[in-house]
Amino acid sequence: MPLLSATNVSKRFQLSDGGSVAAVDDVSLAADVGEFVVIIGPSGCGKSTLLNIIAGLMTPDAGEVALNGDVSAPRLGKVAYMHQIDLLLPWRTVLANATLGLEIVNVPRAEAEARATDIARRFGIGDFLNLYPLNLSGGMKQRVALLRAVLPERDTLLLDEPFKALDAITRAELQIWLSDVLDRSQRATVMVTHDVEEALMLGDRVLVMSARPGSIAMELDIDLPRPRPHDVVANPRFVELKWLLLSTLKRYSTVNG
Amino acid sequence: MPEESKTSLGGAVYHSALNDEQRKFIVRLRSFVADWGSAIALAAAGLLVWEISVKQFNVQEWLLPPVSHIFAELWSERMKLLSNAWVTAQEILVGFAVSLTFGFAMASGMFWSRMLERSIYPFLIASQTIPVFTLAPILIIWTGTGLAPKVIIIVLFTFFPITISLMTGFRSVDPDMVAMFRTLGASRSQLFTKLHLPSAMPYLFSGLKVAAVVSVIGAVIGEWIGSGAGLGWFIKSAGARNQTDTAFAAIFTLSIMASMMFLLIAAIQARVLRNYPGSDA
Repeated sequence: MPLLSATNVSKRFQLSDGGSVAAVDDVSLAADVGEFVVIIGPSGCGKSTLLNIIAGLMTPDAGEVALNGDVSAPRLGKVAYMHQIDLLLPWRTVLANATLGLEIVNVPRAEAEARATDIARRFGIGDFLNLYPLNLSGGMKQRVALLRAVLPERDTLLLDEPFKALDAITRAELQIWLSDVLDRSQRATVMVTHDVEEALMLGDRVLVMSARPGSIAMELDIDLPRPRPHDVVANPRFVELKWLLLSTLKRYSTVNG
Repeated sequence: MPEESKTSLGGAVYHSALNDEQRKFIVRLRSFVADWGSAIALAAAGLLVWEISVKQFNVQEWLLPPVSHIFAELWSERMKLLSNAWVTAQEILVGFAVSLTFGFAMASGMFWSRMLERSIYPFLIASQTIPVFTLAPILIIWTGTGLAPKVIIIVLFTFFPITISLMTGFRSVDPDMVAMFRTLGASRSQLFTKLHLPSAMPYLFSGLKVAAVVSVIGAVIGEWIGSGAGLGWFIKSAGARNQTDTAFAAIFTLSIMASMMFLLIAAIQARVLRNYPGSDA
């Protein structure tokens, strides 16, 4: 039984003119411990909606999501979620931002700070713990945001275009960083992106989503060896997969809903 | 051995034996002059024009006294001015504290309960259409001429900006932030104390600044209608005796007090919001 599974999930949004538009249409996916699943699709294909449903922030109109096979288990507070933007609280230091999730589940402060400090060092933000978000670069903020998401040690981690707001150089740097620091063996990871290279740098498996309404158009195993350094982009297999993904995306990126 | 240091003043480089303290003082002085210099110069020019024209055109003392007389009055009446200012200050401080408590309870209540909001909000708006000035005589009949009516008037003047700014602040929270808190498993009360309340601080402070200024007006109105002390009463009785210079001295004191109140809040704001992005504090 997979750790996380979504079965035939659909979601429509009401429009102000009384009509409705399908955002996600009959999507099924599963992710197990140790797996990094990437959902890739054109902008506006309902990727984020799907993640919000998995996280428990939205209820689907049809279909169900299960954690360890349990469809009725509450998912808010059980699934780690990192957003496109860092969402750091400006009045809290890096350390206090990072420990927010532990604070919410009443982990004693000293213990929470010790755990955060420990992992922060590995995340490359050990020297910034007492700074405020105002004084951090975009890349550093995203590192803190990931630290906050993973500290409560949930089995499932959702990443919603985590590096979207960053410049190309920082994004590439953080992609390498993410695959280094994230111990995939501990959890199931589902990442949403529209960046083909990002999908290939990080994923074990890629699901291509079609344009609105979003449904799974293709599933692809990324059989590139790990670790994947910067120069993996020159690997012939990488180029081949990239071309395959790009052409698939192009075919499914016209809206027909 | 004292270290000789290079200091740059006005573009030229001097070798001087200034210590760190002195150098900091110079930097502070220059930034003070940059911030306040033009306002101070304008005030000085205005007062000078006042002084000269009053003397030049032989304006009657009881119509418009020269500035120098007002300052002389400020000095000679300083004890009376201070003791009356203290009365007014107490009214303002108590009124402000009550207003903040009341406004916070009101805004939080309306944030927590949509029904409470729907029932209270129209009256909140309606309350602002009543000129508070007209209530003052009634309040004095009900509560006498002591502290109580002034506090009530100040609260009537200030709870509105405080309540509305807090409510706006609570509502302005980014929905993505709320989503982030919910995925971490936050309860409604955790959301309120850890997200909505701190997010509302920049809004609260703009409301407090407005409240600070109008609270002085509220106190003066209360004292005007019925009182035996306070700067408002002092101005009124000086006016009744045609002591224009005394009245001006009291008005001057009052405006200093209001400015101090404003600056105090601005200082607290700068401290509380020092890490908020884009704060104008």
